[in-house]
Amino acid sequence: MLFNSIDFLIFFPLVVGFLFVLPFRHRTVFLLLASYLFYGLANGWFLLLILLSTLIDYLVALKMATITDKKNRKPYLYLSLISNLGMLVIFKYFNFFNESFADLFKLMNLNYAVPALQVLLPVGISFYTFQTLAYSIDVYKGKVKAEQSFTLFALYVTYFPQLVAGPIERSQSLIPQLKKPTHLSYENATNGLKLIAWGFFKKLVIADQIAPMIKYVTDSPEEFYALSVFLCAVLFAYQVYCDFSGYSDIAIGAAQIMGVKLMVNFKQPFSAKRLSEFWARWHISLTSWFKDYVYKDLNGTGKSLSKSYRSLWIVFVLSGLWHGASYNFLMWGSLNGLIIIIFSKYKGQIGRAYKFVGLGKKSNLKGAVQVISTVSLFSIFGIFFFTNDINQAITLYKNLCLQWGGTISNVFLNQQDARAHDLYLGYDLFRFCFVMLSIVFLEYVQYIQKREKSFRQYWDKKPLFTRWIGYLGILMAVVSFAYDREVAFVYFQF
Amino acid sequence: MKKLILNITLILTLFFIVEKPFGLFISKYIKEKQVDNRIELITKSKVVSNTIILGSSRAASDLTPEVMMFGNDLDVYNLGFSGSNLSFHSAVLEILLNYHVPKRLILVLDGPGTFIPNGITVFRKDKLYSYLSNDFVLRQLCENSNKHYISAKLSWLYRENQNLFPVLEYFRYGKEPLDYTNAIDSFGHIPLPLSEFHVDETEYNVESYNLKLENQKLIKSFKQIQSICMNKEIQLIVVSPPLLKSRENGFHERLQLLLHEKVMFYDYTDLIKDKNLYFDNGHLNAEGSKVFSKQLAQDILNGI
Repeated sequence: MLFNSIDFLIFFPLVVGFLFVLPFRHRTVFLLLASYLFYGLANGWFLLLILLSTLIDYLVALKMATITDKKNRKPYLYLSLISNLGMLVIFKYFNFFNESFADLFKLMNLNYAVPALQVLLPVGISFYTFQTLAYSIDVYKGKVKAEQSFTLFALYVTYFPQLVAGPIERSQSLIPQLKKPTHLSYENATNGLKLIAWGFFKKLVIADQIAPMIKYVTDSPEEFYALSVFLCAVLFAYQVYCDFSGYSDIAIGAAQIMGVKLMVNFKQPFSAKRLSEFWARWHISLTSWFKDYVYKDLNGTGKSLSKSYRSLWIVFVLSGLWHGASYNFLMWGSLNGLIIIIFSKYKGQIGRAYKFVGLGKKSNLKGAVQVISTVSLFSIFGIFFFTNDINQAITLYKNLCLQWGGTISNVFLNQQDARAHDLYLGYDLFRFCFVMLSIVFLEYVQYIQKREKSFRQYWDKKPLFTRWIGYLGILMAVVSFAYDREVAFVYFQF
Repeated sequence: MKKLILNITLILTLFFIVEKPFGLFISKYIKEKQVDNRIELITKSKVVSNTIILGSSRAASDLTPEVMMFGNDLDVYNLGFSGSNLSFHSAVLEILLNYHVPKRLILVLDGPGTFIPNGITVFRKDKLYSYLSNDFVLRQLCENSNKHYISAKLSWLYRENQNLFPVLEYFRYGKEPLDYTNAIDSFGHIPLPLSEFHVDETEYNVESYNLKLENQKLIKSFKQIQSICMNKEIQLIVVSPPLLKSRENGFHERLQLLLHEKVMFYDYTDLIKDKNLYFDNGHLNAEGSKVFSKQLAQDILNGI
């Protein structure tokens, strides 16, 4: 079931309605069944998989809790790791590695007879396996107690607002909240609804309107150069941000209505001044997962700089692979890691370079330059993200460097309707302007959020009439762009 | 709790009041943008011919009703839509039957592309978007897309949302420009110019018809058209139009298995081999269309 579907608009109010009518002792089971229904509608077989994962980690944790010696807990931790990562490898990575081996064997003129697996990628597998892995690792380390109740643990794994695309919640944060009796509060309900509306706005009005422009370029990448490629890359950055943060907002808002606080997953990443800062603000639940469960263990004491850099690069490569089993994502992760390392290693020289061009520490312009360069870097690396394969990515990277003069003059002169191709990326003037205005509106809201620390609190101070016009406007915008094609969230493919 | 329900009710009520004029405005002006308004003509009961042609561009361009009707009592109207598939033809037929039951239906096929998706023929939702204020059209769209029927009945803005930008384009540029897919004459025919010649004479291999590639929805639509015609006592004539380079690959054998015994099938694939009568390899130009139309009309009248 997609959030942006009529099914969810019927499902969610019914779930909330029944939830708060039921006695608390029945709510866990009810929510669990609702979550299984939410997930199982995609494919019944996926449900079996998540049940298996839940059962293994539940039993493994219970067993580890009875063992005081950490060394003796290890086999059970390995069991959890192997089962969770094993599922990921089979469903997500087997074919990628298999094809790579096949190519390698072909290069060496050797026979390779292992066939590809004909399997569908279970929705949300990358998210819930990481969530349960975190739980197993935390129980192993003694950071959390094993949850005794199977239904409560199962609900932690399958809690429907965050099941298919995060945020990846830690057990110490989510399980206690699921245990606590909650009541429908006016504040939670209204704030949750506002967040859901904002999430739908970002998804339907901004992200889904940008998507055809990206497709226009990826359908024939060899036709686009310079400005068009750069514009496509920046637009994609906004598309994936609005799509994913929109989903997160809907998830967080839905959970808030039910009295549960999920973690913030995005903190205005487009105002970051460095790529490292960007990643601390983007998909926070995943980056913090990698930091806590991979980087810290790889880095050890953290006293060796070269070890820190190596660990960081490995984390980014793994993060790239988490996003997808392809060389594109591998390159994407590697490049991000590499650039962060370079910028960190040569921090001093970069600072001196800024000073040399008149952008000292106190310069306002320096901040703007840093933000623009960070967003540009993220966008340019994002070419690996939205292209179908390495060859397409290479074509676009090559074309990015060519014909800047030609593309810009095409746009200005608009010969043979070049503007529609090179600037509007397949759209007409109206739709292009609309996309740009919606991005400006988004940036304005983010600016207010940054300035006032909370857009919601800023907005709540406005007169009632203004607020209601705003709510009506958002609702009408969402309905205006709820087209008859249900465009899946970008991160569902992970 | 009461305050919450009250506020939600209030905002939804306001929404449904405010959005109605927007929906109404869009539905009014989107119709004015259309050059090809045959769907609207159907819903206004202005398509009353006793012989209706259905199909894709090969129906729209290859069959000239004016020629078919010449010197006989045939009354023909062409409801061929470029790039449309069988599911769309079935939908158009179902919309039509709410207003008029023809005596005869000529269904023009697209060769193997009739049952095997080819990326060229699709369900032409865009042809229906402008007329969603009509319930029959709305139902057909909702059955063939993700648009939700009840929501579309409740919210006129949701119903018309796909037409928002086209209406803005209408105010800026006026009616949609004429092209080979919408330049219909008064009989619904789209003549293709003789002055253009897009025939490709290179030889190519013809792949065998692959049953595994068939789309079951298209098969279902084909059976549905036949079933509707049987129930409404409409004489159904299925036609394979002329092709410049026809190579049998097993499609017609497959077709015979799907045809009802009472349905007539005319194969004109090899009727016209003069390349000067073609616009491109799959479509006849205006002159070629006259030849084909004449032959078909003759065969219909002779009951062959």
